[in-house]
Amino acid sequence: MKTMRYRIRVLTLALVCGLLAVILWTGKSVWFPAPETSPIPSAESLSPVLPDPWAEPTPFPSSSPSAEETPLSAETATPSAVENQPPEALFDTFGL
Amino acid sequence: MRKHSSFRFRVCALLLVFYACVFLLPACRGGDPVLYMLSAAVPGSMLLLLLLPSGLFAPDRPSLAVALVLCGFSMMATVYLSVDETVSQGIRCAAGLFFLALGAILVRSFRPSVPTAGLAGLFGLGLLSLSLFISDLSFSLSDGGMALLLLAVSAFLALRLRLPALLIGLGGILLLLFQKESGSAAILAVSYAAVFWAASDSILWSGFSLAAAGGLFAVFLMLPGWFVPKEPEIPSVLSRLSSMPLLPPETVPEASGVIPPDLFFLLGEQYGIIILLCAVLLLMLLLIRGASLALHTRKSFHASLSLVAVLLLGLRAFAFLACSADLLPLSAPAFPFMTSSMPDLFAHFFLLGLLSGVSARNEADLEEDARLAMLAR
Amino acid sequence: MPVASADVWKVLYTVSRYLFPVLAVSLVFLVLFFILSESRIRREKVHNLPGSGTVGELIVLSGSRELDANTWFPVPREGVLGSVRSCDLVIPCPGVHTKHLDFSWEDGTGLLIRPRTGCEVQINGVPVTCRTHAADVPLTHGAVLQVGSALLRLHLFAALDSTVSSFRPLPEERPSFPGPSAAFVPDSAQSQYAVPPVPYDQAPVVSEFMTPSVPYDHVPTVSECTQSEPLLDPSAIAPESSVSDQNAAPPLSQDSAASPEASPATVRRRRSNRWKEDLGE
Repeated sequence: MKTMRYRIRVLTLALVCGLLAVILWTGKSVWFPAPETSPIPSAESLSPVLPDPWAEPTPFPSSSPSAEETPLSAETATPSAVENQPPEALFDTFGL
Repeated sequence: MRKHSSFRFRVCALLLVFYACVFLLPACRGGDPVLYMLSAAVPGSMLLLLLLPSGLFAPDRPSLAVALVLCGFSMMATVYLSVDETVSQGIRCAAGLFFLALGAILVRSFRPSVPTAGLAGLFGLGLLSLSLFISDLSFSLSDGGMALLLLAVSAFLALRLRLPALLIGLGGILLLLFQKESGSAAILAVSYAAVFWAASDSILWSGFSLAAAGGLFAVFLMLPGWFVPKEPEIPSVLSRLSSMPLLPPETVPEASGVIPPDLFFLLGEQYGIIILLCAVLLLMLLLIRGASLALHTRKSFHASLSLVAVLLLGLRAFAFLACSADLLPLSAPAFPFMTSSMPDLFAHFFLLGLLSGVSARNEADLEEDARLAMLAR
Repeated sequence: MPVASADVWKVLYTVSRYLFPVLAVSLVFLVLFFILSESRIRREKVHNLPGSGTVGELIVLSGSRELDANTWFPVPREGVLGSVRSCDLVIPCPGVHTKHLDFSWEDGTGLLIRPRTGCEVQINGVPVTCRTHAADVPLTHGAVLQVGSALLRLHLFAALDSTVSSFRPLPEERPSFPGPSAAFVPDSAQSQYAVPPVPYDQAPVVSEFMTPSVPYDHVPTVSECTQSEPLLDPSAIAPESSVSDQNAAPPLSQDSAASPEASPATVRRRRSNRWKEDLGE
């Protein structure tokens, strides 16, 4: 009976500690949630790639396509919206 | 003459005030006569049960007080939403008292022997396998079946028959695994291994029982399509908890037609997180009381019975909290005493009855010792 | 039914927002104090009943260097006897296994003994193992239990029911007990204590160690057990010791004291200090 009493104490203690641990963990999740980690931005997305101002301007098509009509392909897709703008708009963008 | 603790009367007084206020407040708002009746009936019946003379009905008063408070909380959860549901919950709790008496009588009259242990084991296995034979059964009798099964295991271990105890326990786990009730099977496996470890006094048999239970789980987990993680709740429990206030909300929630099934978190939305915390702390006090009763018994069989009650109630609460907080990928079982499922509620009251029976047994042993001491003088 | 006005109800609800959590927390504390007070009441009851939870005592007739003779152990209703401290009865003697036997009290029968596998005991000189005896063997009042090199005698409380069945040796085969100082070599074949077993239902309460003036078929009443007249002949136990008042103290009474304060010339009975936890405490 002595051994049994000791084991009953151990089991009860484990059960109560388990309940307390779950309560504390739930409380911590509710009141101190882990901040959502955002992916580290790549170097290309940080700095916009500006076109070389001394390069020859590429001719624009007659009708400028909208983003919904012509989806950008993998080769021509650029992360920056600046490249899609006409050269005159670039000066407007930079306040020149 | 038995000494009475003065704290019993203080607990009764506080219960009277608390539950009278809980039901009077919504009663004053709408003038519902049913609520006025509840404000008298609920605390009155609690008082009656806690102050009954020991000779008439000898429950373990501290654990009965905890159970009554938890039942009162379950009624509180729906008082603003649906009075009919509150009354139904009250009737369910009152019916559960019959199973409390049954558990207490079983402990006082049950003597561990091979036929009685075998009968209890077979009955437990029958309850667990009922849903296999009746496919359109809407409720689960697993809680009651587990309680009877572990009672049989305790009886066999008291008789030092380890092999039948091992086989009966594994049979119960197997039945639950067949029915894909992984949560209940896990609770049964852990309780069964713990009772084996405490009562068998043999490391070899304890280790073997744990290995066998773990092996069964491993086999079923490898079966394709057997284990399906629970679907995430929308909204999740953690988000519900984060939106719950500490105190009751400033505006009374309006009654809607649909009542969520989980009374525990519904209580939190109605009355705040502090009440939820009190419910969990009260259950922990119940577990400590059960363990204390197990430590004071003279016979290892009664100690095992108390341990069974403590483990089943405690592991159920642990599984409820862990599954609700997405710590375990299982569907959460009901919180003890705060459920609208009648079979579960009756099983919880039966376990409370086991504790009451053991407490009565301890008191009877002490009185016998006092009588022997008087005779010797 | 009375209905409160909206403003009054709003005030009541605002008050209840703080009242209900306070009452709930108070409930938790009150239930905790309730449980603690019930435990305290029980502890007080057990403290006022020194022999609570025990059925008698085992007196060491011969032990070892670590276990003196005349040490006594309170016997609980159920437990394990062995040489390790985790046992309920700790007998640190050569030949005693770590967990030697299980015992349990059964009303109307006595203290049932079940030796573990590979362990042998002798009850009144009769060897008992789990193979030779399928069922538990009852140990009754006055019976001598030999475990390893330790010789123990069981004294049951007289008020218990099961002192009816007891062992009574035949007068001509009554063993002469050498006393605790003599070195005891257990030898079942030539043991002086190998007396033929008498059916338990034919023997009276009195054991062979009672004084000769007490008839064998005399069942000691509770009042006799509490009298100062010694129930056992000290010369049979320790011929060199004189009769002591301490031995006259009722061992069968449940209120028997633990620490003897006998003169150096008297037989000293000392409670075992290996009883680490009392029942119910």
